[in-house]
Amino acid sequence: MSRMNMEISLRRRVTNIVMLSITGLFTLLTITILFCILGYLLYHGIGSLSWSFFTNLPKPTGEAGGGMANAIVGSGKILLIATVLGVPVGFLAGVYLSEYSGRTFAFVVRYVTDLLNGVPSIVIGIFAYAMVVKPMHRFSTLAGGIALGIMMIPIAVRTTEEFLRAVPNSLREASLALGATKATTIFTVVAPAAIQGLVSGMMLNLARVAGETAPLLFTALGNMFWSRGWSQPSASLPVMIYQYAISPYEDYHQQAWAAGFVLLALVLSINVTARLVISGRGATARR
Amino acid sequence: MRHIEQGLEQLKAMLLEMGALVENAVYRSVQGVVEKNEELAHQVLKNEGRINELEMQIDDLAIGLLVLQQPVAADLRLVTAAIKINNDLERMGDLAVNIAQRSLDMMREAVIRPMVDIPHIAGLVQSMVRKALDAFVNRDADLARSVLASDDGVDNLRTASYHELVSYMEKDPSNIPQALNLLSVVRNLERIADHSTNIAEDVLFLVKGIDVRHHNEERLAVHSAPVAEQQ
Amino acid sequence: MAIQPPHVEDTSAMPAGGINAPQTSVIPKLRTRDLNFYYGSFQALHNIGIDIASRKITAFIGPSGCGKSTFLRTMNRMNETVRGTRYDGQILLDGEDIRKMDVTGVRRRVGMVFQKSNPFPKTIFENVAYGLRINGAKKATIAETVQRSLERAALWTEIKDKLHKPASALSGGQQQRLCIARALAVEPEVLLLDEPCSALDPVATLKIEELLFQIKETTTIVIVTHNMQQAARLADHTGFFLMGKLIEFNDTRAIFQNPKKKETEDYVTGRFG
Repeated sequence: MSRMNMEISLRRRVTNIVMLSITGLFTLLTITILFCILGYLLYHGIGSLSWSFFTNLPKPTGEAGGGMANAIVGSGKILLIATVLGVPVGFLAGVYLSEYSGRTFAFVVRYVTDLLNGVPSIVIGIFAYAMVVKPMHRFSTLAGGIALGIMMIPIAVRTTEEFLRAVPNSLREASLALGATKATTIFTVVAPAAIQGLVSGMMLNLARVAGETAPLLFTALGNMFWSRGWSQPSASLPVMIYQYAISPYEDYHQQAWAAGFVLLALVLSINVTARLVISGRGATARR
Repeated sequence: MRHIEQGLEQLKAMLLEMGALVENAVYRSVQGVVEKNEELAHQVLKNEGRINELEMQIDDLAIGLLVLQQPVAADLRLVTAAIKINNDLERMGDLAVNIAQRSLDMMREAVIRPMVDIPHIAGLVQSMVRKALDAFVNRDADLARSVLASDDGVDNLRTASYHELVSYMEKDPSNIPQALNLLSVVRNLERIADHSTNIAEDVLFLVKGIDVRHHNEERLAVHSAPVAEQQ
Repeated sequence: MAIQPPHVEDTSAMPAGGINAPQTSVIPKLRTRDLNFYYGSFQALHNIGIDIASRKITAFIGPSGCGKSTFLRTMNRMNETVRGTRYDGQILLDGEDIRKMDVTGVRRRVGMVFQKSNPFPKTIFENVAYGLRINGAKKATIAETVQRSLERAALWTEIKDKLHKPASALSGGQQQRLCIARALAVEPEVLLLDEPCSALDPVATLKIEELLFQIKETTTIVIVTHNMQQAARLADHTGFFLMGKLIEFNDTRAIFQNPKKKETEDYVTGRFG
């Protein structure tokens, strides 16, 4: 081997080691930040968790104890409305894009949904405020759900489209060749074949909006008591965290940590379930 | 059942029919000579048409199988053997016709000598024909080898006959026409035996996948090659 | 082996009526007249005119991209699902123009089996029952028809104990036979097969060929294959496609033993290109 070759070889090895070190270092940094957040939440949150946190209403300032039962239920109701609104709309639009529309139109719609996805969540909140809260003259669970539902639509559309497109065309042809109509084919063959992906995609979508705060400030507002029905202002975990965290009281801060921890656990469990559905374990949807 | 099987079965059946017709023709032609039976000789001439027709049908079927079914291994050997056996059988049919025609020539003449050698040769040749066909039907290699062994016997008898008939001709020139006819009968019988030998060789190829032609010194002892028995 | 010579009408290659073989007792099930097919501006089929005999096996051979699969897929209007395609000319099923018929009706009468087996991600039973359900078969008859179809596809004895297992558990050859059973369940009058054995081993291929011989008794079969030996073994009639044209169509033995066109001769002898 000539000297020149040895030099080149040495330089290459050094470059390689440097690149490996730099990328590795930053990966480590990312993970560290993530675990810091998790650890911090765990550290502060878990201490304040108690049975009463899940069962009791918030206590007035200064009184010890109290919980966030109303916020947990409120979040649940808001997410339910969001799902009922966002999933069907997104799914059907996704079906249209994947199965019916021409290339140009699909491109335009995809572009628009990407734009919608990029709209700041607070703007969505303002929109829902203008469309629902103003006409009804009140903040409500419904308005909060609609705001989050709108936020779910873009991802629901894209998820549906992606997963339907991933279904091999040969399955559509097999169905059509038996004399099935296109609609029958989509709903009895194509969608069932993609069900795993669709379900997990929608769950991830739900997990994503579960932590949204800004849109709820304008819509569900907040409530220190139980919210009856769907047209009352409602508490929700993210808003509760916001309100408690900015308050000057130490025990409220503790409650906020606990709420943050619960919200994280909720999002995490939805995520893990979705991953399990994707990997096919625990999925009855497979058949 | 594989689709090709039907064709192969049909091919075998047609070859057997052909074999039976030829065997019959050989027998009748010789009987025509020996018994001076004009009726038998005419039957031989009449049946030749059927043999020729069958030859064409067998060729057509065999080529059809080659074209459409692409037989391989034992199936391929069966089809190629069938084509060759078919050819030999048709020639044997022609030779039987030759014998029948000789017999018609001699029909009105008084015999110049006792008919001993011809029935003798004919018996041997007919047994060769039958054994060769049986060997084909039963895929019997040993029987096929026995046909090869008989060929030398026929050759010896033909040589003896030849010398005897020459001596008759030398004795009395008026014997010459009939002696020539008888000579022709003997030669045709000998050639029928040769075709039987060919068939036996084809059977060995069919059953064992070995070629025993043109190796006279070896062909009687071909059991050394480690060839799996085909069935 | 007596085969009625089929009827060919390749108007692109010769004057009208060109190589029409005498049309005697063959009843054509499917016929095309002046069929031209286009992918956008590319013309994939040129003036195809052919009579496909009822209850016979008709094979189409030819090099890749010659249009044989395209032609097959026009006969159940499957190409209409592909964007940017159009065609003109006539395709007649029992003398009736299939373009004037309801498309789902055409596809129920003219079934199709694809190159790659494509069972639905459902159970074996549901795969076969699918066509029955969507065509509104009575519930009581479904199980019976499923069994009969699986029997016709020579699959019943192999899978009768695992009817409710997913179809994906079957071997490649079994999956393809399942697809044939699925197609047979709706009792099509014509079965189109697009290179059905190209992904199968010789044993599975042989099983499918035997199966097609059985089906032929009740169903007109049209098969596209790039395996010439398969066409020779299977088909009563064979057509040779080249560059979107039907070069020659005749009984199979004539195509492989004594083709009339030089292009056919070159292709079947492997001197092509």
